[in-house]
Amino acid sequence: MTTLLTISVLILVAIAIWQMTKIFELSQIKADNSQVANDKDNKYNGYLMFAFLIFIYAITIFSFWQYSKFLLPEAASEHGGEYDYLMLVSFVIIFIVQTITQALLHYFSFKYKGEKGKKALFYADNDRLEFIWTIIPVVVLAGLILWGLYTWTNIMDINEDDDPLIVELYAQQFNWTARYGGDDNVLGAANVRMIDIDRANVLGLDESDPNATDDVIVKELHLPVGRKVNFKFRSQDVLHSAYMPHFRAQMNCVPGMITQFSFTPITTTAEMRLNPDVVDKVKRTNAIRAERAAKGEDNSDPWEFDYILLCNKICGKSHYNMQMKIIVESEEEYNAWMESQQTFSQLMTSMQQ
Amino acid sequence: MSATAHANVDDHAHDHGHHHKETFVTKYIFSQDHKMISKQYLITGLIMGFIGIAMSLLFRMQLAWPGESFPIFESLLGKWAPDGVMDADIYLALVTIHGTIMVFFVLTAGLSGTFSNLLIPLQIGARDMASGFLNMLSYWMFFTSSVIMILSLFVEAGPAAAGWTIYPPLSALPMAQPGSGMGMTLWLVSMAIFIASSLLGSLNYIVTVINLRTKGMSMTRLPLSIWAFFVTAIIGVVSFPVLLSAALLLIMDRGFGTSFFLSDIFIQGEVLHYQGGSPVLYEHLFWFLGHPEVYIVLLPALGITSEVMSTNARKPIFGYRAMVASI
Repeated sequence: MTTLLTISVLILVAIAIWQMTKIFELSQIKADNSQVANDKDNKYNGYLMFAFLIFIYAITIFSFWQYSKFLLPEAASEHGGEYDYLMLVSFVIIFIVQTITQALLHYFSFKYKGEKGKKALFYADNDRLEFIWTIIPVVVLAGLILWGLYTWTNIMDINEDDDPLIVELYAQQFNWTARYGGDDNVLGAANVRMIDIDRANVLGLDESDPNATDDVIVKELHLPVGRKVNFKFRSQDVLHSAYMPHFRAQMNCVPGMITQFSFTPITTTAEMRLNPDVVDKVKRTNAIRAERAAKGEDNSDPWEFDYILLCNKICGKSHYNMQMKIIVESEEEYNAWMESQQTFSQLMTSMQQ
Repeated sequence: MSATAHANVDDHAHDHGHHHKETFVTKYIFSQDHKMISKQYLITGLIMGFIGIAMSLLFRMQLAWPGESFPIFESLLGKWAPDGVMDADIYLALVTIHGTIMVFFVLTAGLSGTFSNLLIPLQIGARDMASGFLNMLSYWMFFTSSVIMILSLFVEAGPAAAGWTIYPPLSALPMAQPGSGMGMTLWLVSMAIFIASSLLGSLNYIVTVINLRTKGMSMTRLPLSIWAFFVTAIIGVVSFPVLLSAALLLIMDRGFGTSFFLSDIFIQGEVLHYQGGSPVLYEHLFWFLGHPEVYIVLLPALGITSEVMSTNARKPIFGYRAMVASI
């Protein structure tokens, strides 16, 4: 592989040098006329334009066919569908415009190629034409932007309606911690200045705040399906970004302030594992892992799909590996899991013993 | 090029039609001639471009085969690639310096510096730029900042590694990552000099276009390429100082204990004294430049393309006024 890469790099360098010498050659003024294009050259270039057009269409179709399997599966949150639809419409519009303009661009450069005796048409201005092709993109773009703004304000309208579950996501180099409000569903006050690692108060909770006593601190995010979740984000050291791709959710975690996001999960982990796209992906991944296992390499255990929370803002050395598992389950399963967790006050007492 | 043969002899006076003496130094090094300065920009920009490309080849190789061992890494990166596998820190550092070089040194200075310097006087019918000395200063500051940026690659703890946007607190706290030590300081110093260079250049372009047009070359007759360079220079003058302020404030946060961008930070087992600042302020300052920057990069290319197309099609540009308005 290294040989192949070295060879390709060498070839590229050689091409670059060749091109540069050619530029220098061309920049020298010579009486020699062989560099002036004649009809044959122009025709040749015209056909090359067509060839290039076919090439970009082919590569577009190939990419759709080959790589669309790497896209995310169906959104697992209520607002996610809206989001994906907006994206789809934008892409369809871009795709149509791109196809038409590229075809025109290449066809015209073929049709109006230089020919002996052909004179260029003097056509410097046409206000109506310019008006038309300015106003159409303006209307389309304004429509997309207004629709996008409307969707965005809807998603970012974070309120306390519908009895949301309150969860804090706490970021640090290089892991995530989640904190639930407990029985009262209210998070206790907290600040990094109150962190006391020796006594396990790793999130800096205010121990005198009664709301903090029943808070539950965990390393795995469990969410009941169909219930709205209001997230509060904190970071203790540098900028992080909480990215939950399957829920189409992302928010920066900023030291010194609390940011918010809200969504309702609509698909449980178990249901998502049956999604045909996900089944395909798991199959592909496990085929690769089986190969690795046969060769005795690491990272070869069979993989099972799980929702995931990632860090999406460069935060240092292990940024690439900063993640937390998310489990969406039924209300009963969630309650049973929550019962089995220690509250903050229980944790503190167990530490003091 | 008979001049080259004689020019390296310092005392050999060489009359150039301007009735003043030019030595090798004034002609090729500290030149105030816009054509020579544009060549200097071109060559420096190309060298920086090749360095940037080499970096992207390295980190993309590792990205394509994660964890794979490439002997070439060990020979190039030494302790940063034990056994030929790139360390995560140097990976981020390469991405950071690659981004910085490509966006600022190649696409901003390399593009505007080369083509604005070469074409503005030629296309508006001026003898040279408004201030040849300022122009020379602009190039040599650009050169200095390029050298500092390259030197930062050889700092012991590694070059800046917080991404080309260098968001604090990651870029402000040396304990957050090794790249935020000396490497980041050099990055900031280099950028501060770079911005000064860019401002000097832009001011020169604006003044030249406004004041030195030849008789009959009204603003509505300027070639589109000149319009593009002119607007680019204005955008640069308006937005680059904001980045300079962000860089200076960040230097103060790093070195003098101020809290412009930092607040409530707990790192490596201790609470830092910073209070009341906000990293979001830095993001706003940075993107006040970052957004116009895409036009600084795009417009000169658009202007040049329009001019080349219309010349080769033997036709005037279609809808000149609309094009100027859209630029």
